[in-house]
Amino acid sequence: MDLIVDAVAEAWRLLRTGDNDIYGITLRTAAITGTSTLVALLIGLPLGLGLALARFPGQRSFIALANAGTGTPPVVAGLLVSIMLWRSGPLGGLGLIYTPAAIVIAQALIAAPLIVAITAAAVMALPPALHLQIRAMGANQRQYLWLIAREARLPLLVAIMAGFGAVVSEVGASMMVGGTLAGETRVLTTAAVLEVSKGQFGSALALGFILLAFILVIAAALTIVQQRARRR
Amino acid sequence: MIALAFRDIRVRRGPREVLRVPVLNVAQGETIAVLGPNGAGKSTLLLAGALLLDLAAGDIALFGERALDGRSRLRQRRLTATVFQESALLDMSARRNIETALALHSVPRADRRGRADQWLSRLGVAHLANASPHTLSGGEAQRVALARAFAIQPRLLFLDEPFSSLDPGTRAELVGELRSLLADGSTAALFVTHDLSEAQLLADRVAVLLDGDLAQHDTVEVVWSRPASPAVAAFLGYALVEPTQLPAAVTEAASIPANAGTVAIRPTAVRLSIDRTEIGSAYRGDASIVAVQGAHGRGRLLLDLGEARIAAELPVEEIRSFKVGGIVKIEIDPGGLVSW
Amino acid sequence: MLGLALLVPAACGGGGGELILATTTSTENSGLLDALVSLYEEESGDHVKIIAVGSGAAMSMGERGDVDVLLVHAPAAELAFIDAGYGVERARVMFNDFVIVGPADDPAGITGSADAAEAIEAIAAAGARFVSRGDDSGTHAKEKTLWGAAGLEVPSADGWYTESGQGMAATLTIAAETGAYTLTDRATWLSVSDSARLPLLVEGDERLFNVYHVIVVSSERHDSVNTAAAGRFRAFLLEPTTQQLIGEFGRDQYGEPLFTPYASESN
Repeated sequence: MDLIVDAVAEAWRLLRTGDNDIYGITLRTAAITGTSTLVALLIGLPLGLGLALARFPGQRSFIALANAGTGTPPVVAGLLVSIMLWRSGPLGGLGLIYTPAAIVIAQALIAAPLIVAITAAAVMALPPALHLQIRAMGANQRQYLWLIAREARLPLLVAIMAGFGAVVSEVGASMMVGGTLAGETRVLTTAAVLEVSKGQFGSALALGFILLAFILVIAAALTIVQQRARRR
Repeated sequence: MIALAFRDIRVRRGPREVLRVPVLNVAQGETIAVLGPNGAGKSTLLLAGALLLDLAAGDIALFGERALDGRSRLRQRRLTATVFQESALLDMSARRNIETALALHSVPRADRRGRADQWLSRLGVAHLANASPHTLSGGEAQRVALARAFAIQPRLLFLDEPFSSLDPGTRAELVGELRSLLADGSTAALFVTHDLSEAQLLADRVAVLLDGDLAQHDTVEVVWSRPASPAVAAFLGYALVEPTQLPAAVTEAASIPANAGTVAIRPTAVRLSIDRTEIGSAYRGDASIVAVQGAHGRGRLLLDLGEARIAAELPVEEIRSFKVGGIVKIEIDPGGLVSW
Repeated sequence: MLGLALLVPAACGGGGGELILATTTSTENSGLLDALVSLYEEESGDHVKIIAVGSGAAMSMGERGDVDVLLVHAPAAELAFIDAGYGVERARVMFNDFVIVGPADDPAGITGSADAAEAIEAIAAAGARFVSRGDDSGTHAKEKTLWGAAGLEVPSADGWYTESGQGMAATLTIAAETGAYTLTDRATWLSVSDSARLPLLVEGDERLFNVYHVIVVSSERHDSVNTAAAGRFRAFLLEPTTQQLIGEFGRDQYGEPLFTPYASESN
């Protein structure tokens, strides 16, 4: 119990003094997870839409694949990305290993299947007459996709929340591809794990609290957006 | 000018051919009702006409221009509007639904709100302009759907059983509403229904579809009084009997030819007689009640007349006094018999 | 947008070269490496990325050419690494020692013993709990040689002998929580917060000697290796000023230095 009290005190101290680069780490966490979620969205939304709307052989298998992808262990994703980005790997020449970009790639890979699966399910749940009606209203392909996505906006917001949740709490892949380098690729989760591995449980918990606070703020913001979207 | 022309069209669903129509035209400003039992291909015909599905064969032309694939198809589609049975309103306010439709038709942003409000008013739902679709009743939603359809000033309107899921009172109101909206003849309409009274109220002509084929295409009066085939007659509720099953007096009074194969009796041609002096050429006789039925607010007695099984329609409140096995006196108006 | 801004500089690599250093978790956790590297970066203008894994993992990354320089403490494996041609220019940097720590009530009765092999034999005989690193690290390698010296096979991991598969600090935590013995380097034991619960029981045996070497990864197999920067770092570690820094490190915080300088160009 003292450990938790100590941790709260330590968290407060870290925030007050800005020690251990806590602000840098927090900003970096925000930047990296924000970018990963965005990339995952940019990949996942169109893929999910296409999966739901197009008609092609093997459609069901792809949907099963997307659903399976939501359960991918992050450490597997991290290992795969590492193997690609290490100097010994095919993309080694890009020099991306142990950089924030590598973390974004690994995290986007983890979040994308979630977004694809939820988007596809949401669009497939729309009433069939809606598709005909939108086309009957004179929408071209682009307008049709936009209106369909808009109709499914509430579940899509859930997809965003799920994707963000997956990346912000992720540590295994971030550790592997980022190396938790101080001042460069250390984020709240990997910093916390580092403190644990050093036996510094108070600081580890403190970092954990700060991470939770960060997640809470984002979740609250997304929820406000969601409630507004309900009314529009 | 013909608003919508179908030529030799065939539509397939999987291996099955579900629609075959050699010729069907909708003239400018005309309203055509498409009638038929479930699965006859009515909605398929409508979707084909609205350029919302692909043909296996044949041509469709809108206002003289053949419908092809690609950009021109979209342009032609924008001359039309469609209203479905379950009002497919977008998840936004009623007004915004209309504004979206107007936006898709390139109406300038400044004009959209005014036009949307104007049409909401016209359909009596101006007070619902900001309402979300979830909060609307069936009738209100269909009024918004109609407002959205008419707001874009379509030259051709498609309605797929728009009032089927509404209660009778609302249904009657909206049929009247649609009638007045179509009255100025600026919009041609193709609407699907299996309610003949709607067809009678709204349509200039009726197309009867049975099993994917166009069985009859004529004015309402003609289709109703002279169905083209036993199948059409059966769909309209006629009782089908063989000439020999009827008492000779009936067939004589109706001048049924000797070589006729089937006779159809219009439901309204059979009435229960009350003791009064004989009128004209109506046949009179006794029939025994086989079944007491009712549907759609009307009562029906199934009767045995000679060897024939016929039906008489009655107001539903009168039907309760009859019992199976009872004998009633009926009159048949020979003008209500058709034969092939 | 902030994200993109953060992503770009890392890809550019800074002023000098980029050096990837693979080292052990014990040197990383002690904080020594952070101190040395920041000094080195200032002096050389190189940008160093420290990847802390076990000695075994560090060497396999060296085999693939994914790192430029190693700082490890597993002599037998290091020699094999050099012999196979993966590494060049191995040099001694510093040493400290391993110690055996365990529960205060010492069920195996090894307190004060100066014979590490005997002590470990006593633990096995008593069936007392022992946590091994079990992760191919330098510490794990040392533990295995002790079992060999005691004439025993490395025990199988069921019952009293367990493998944590984790770093030294985490293993010490497990030992403290479960009342187990473990082999640890002195530096980590000193720097981990609950070392009071886990008193030092055995030290001084010369077999517990723990020497760290720096190895430059050979560029013959992989020309992506930054041998120039690796050589600079190696030279830096062997410099008298750096050696002095190593000798002082930890004195303020723990009352004794964590490492002893031991540079030698050869070997």
